[in-house]
Amino acid sequence: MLVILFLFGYLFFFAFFLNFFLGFYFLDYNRFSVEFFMPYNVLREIPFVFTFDFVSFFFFSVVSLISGVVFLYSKFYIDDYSNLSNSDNDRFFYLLFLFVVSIFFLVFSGSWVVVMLGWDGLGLVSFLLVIYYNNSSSLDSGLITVFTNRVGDCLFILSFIFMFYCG
Amino acid sequence: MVKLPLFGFHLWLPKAHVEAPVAGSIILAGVLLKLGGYGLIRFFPTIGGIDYSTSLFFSYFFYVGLIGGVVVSLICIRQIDLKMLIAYSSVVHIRIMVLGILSFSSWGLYGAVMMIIAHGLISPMMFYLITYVYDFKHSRSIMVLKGVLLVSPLFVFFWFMCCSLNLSLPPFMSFFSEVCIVGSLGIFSYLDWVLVILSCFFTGVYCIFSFTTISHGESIYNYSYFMDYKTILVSFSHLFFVLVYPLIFFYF
Repeated sequence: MLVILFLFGYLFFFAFFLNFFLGFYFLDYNRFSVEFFMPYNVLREIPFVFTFDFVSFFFFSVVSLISGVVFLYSKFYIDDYSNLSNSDNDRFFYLLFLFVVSIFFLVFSGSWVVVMLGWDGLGLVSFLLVIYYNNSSSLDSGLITVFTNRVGDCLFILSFIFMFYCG
Repeated sequence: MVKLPLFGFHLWLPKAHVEAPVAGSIILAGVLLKLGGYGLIRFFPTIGGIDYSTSLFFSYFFYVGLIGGVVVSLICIRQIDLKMLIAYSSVVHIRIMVLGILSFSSWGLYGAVMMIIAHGLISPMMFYLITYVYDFKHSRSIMVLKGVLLVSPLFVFFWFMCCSLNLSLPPFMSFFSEVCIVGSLGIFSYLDWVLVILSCFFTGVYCIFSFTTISHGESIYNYSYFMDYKTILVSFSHLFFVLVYPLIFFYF
């Protein structure tokens, strides 16, 4: 458990440097798109595209720096309670990892499918992280988190109507 | 049209779900409600794909479904019995599907068919998990069921996947069905969009509510029980099928 936290902390530090330099490499508005081609009927235009742009590289470098720090720091305040009843420390690590994966999908997205994937995943994972300790104040905060995220979701889905019918 | 719980005719559904045993509820939620939708899909091309504005009959069904969806999801938030909550959530999902069928576009039809399949996969699994907890605690009230998170995290994992599929989590099928149905409503007036968005929002509210009432808080009983292997096998295989099936759908 400790080993995994150390490993991912340093992995995200490495990712920070990697993305930083890749961001400088892509600085002249070059772009690298990965598209998953799904051959079926043309009624549904649902393109599942990743785009690696310099903006997204810089953004993800900052995110990976912060998450690397979080992984290393959480070692100090999670493992102390390994004997109490309300502690499953593995869940915290999985939730943090899923959080960074959601941000990855959100940042490196080339179409709205991937954006929504990251957005909804982000909202729910944030909710799970907020209610990680089982007391009523964390429940209140978690519910506020997920409801505001849900409002954003719904208006996002509303904007699909505008996108599909107005060109 | 009674099988599809439209607003005036949906009162049989919560009572039937609550009183029925496990297998009955599962079959009810999974199959029977969809037969009404199937009937609607088969029935409409024979009437004729006429324009929405020239038929008063269909606009009646459309608005009943739309406003009823918002009202039923509001009722769902204030439920005490957990099985009733899932029953009302079935009602809301069926309503949205009816909106998709009645919007007379091929996109809406596609979204409605996908929602039929998605709903038919999710609701039986929720009923299965709830009756599992009911076996242990012999109560379905939210006052008693809390704090399962500390007791068996595996159960909470399955329950969280079910609740998040109910509120249309992205790479899975319910998200795409919701997007297709909402996207096919573009030819209607602005007020309809507000009601659809409200129903989406309140769906999210009661799904999160149903998740937290079971899993949060401290448990009244001792944490001395865990999931037996048959339940794990059934839920895991069901969940695996639900998650893998959208990917199959993409290559359809």
